[in-house]
Amino acid sequence: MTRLLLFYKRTQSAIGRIWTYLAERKAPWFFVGPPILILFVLIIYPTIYLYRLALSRYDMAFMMDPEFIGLRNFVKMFTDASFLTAVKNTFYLSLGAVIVEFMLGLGLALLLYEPLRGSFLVKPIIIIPMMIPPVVVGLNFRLILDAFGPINGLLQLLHLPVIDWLGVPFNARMSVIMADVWQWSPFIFIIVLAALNAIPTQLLDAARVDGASAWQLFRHVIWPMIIPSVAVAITFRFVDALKLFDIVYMLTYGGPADATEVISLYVYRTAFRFGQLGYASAMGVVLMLFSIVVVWGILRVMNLEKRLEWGEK
Amino acid sequence: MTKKSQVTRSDFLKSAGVVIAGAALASCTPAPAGSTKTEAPAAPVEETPVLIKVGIMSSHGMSDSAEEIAKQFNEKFAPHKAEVTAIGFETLLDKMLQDFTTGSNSFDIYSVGYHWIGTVGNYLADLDDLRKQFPDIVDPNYDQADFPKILWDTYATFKGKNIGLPFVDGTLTLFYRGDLFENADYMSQFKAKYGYDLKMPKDGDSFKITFAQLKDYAEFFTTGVKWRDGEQYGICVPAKVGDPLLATFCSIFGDWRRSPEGVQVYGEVDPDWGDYFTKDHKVAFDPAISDMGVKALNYYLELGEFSPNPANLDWTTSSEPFRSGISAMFAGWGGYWPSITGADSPVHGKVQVAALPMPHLGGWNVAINKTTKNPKQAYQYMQLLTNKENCKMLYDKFTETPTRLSTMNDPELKAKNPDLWVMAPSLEVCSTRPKLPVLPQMEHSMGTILGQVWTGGLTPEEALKQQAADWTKIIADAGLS
Repeated sequence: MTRLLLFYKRTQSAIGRIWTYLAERKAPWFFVGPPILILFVLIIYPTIYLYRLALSRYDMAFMMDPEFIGLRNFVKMFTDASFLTAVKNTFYLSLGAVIVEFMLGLGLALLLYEPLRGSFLVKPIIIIPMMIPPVVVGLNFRLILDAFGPINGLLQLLHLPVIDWLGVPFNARMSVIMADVWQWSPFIFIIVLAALNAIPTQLLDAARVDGASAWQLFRHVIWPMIIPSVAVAITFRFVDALKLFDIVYMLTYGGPADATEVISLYVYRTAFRFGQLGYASAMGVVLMLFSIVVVWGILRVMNLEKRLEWGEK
Repeated sequence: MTKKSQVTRSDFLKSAGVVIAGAALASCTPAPAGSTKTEAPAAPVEETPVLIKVGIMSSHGMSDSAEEIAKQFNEKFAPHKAEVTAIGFETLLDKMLQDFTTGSNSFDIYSVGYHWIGTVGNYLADLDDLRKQFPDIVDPNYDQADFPKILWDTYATFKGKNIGLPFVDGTLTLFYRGDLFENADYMSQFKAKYGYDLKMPKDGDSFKITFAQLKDYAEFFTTGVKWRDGEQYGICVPAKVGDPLLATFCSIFGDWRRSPEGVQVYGEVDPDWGDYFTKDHKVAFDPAISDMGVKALNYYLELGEFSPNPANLDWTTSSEPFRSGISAMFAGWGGYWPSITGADSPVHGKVQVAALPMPHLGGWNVAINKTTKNPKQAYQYMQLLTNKENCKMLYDKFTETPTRLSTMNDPELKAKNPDLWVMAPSLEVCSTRPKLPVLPQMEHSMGTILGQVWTGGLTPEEALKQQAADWTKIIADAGLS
């Protein structure tokens, strides 16, 4: 009986010690644990799985299990003419779209920064395209730019030659850029406008008193003040444009021929049309690395690390 | 100093006790019916109601037909129910593949384009096995022999197994403006220019038009006669990346491929490999084998000169110029008849059909997802959807292209539907696409390589050489050669 009592007390004491240890020393884990678990389940595990698939052959049409093939998918990618064309198209379409979006967004922001009659109404209207799903934008442009659509109808009414917007490679690329610009210029506009509004008015007044012209005011006062915001907007847009999918899918489906085939569309096709999940994953990894390199490049070119004083305490 | 808020040992032990007791209680509660092994009940048990989910391609009235039969099924097989979801052509294959490979079992039944059978065939249930397993559900009046042999072989068979039931027939058909082709003035002008009659075959005629005639007709109605104010085209011929390019070129090349000369050079067509391949599975249009591929592609390009830009035309966009009255002919699927000739159509009452010189086979089956939990009810639904009575009823109600000869040759229906007569003759000789797992890749490859012929990037010979090399590589990589 004494031994039993002793055992009970020892057990109780051990449980008490464990509880105290857990409660006092490991308490942070109770709080940090769930987010780490969620992070692992939603981000880390899928990423590891992506890399695993990227190193495997996994063809759905053949009902096969993933088979480890090392770097063969990556080697194949660089001899795959369709993938290389998609990379080239993605780069040119993204670059073209972001340049036009930047110029339009900046121009509109500068125009509407000055108090104008009705600008309170114009500003919300300008940002409406941003709120429309890209699939709908693509579909709308497809209907508008159709060979027998309203734009060609208007050209015919004016006795002008009709334009094959989506059937000629150059025109199709321009159409994709046009749709992207229509939707995303407001994004640059809204960020630049916010940056302009944050410029202290004293600075502008001082420059004006010193006799600065409008160009000098922009070049030496406004531009240096808004560069960080512009850089962030361009970085976001460029990374987003590299993932261009919806508009191309609806507007041209990569055609004519492969004139507007972009990486995301090709990855989608490879995964869900061709059923090659391994190869598609490898392309996904490369797209991710490509995006990282592009972001790094933009940050370097715009000297953003220094401007935003990253890394400095 | 504030007192630390802390869980006491007794609280912890109490909570643990509650959790353990809860778990013990939960394990004592009765399990859902069917989840444990129990003795068979003495009284007869009603079948547990099941819901059959049907994924059907959304156009051509296919989903309307499936909905109609779902109503019949819900009455006849209550308490079981069928629920139909319409899925767009562009996304249907992708959805199927995702469903099959993830095992998510989103749908019990799918409509499967026959050219996709190579890609998804491994995931479809063997219907012979199913019929053996549930012999009582087989309809004795189903009459399998009523399906044309070519449809049973292409739509319903994969690797020698029956994996589906023929649901919707489809061949590329020539739609034309009867009012133009029967205009006496145009007929005499045509004869004066080309030296033969402007004529299209009718029901019962034994003659067929040739591709050379088709080009003359297209040229005549583009530049030979002014038949409308504003722009006019002789034909609408699609060549957009994907299915339109693959199918239309197959139709044209098939004419060379199946000619006596073609059979001599390439050998007979292997039904699983289709017209694009030789008997020993080499790419038939390769200029290294014969110049017939180049001839066919040149013809396609020449015909395209009498059409709005083919590179920009898919099935729907190529039907539009014809429907709006600016094109004299249109090569498209027979299922477009209702939308082209509807009461609101500008060409209503003016359209007729004829078989293309070499019709091309499209069409759909309905098939059961191998992982379905309700194979019995799924089969019952499919059987109902494709039986003789319903095939006729669905064509009559939705003008959905039938797969049964009894409907195709029904005199009453023929009298009501001027397009019906062409269906059975179109199936006598027609070109087919490959039923290979890599067909989607081949289709994309053709879009990017052959598609460049329309944009001026490659000559026909260069394009066909590259195309043959690329397809050979795709097939070799997949281990099919």
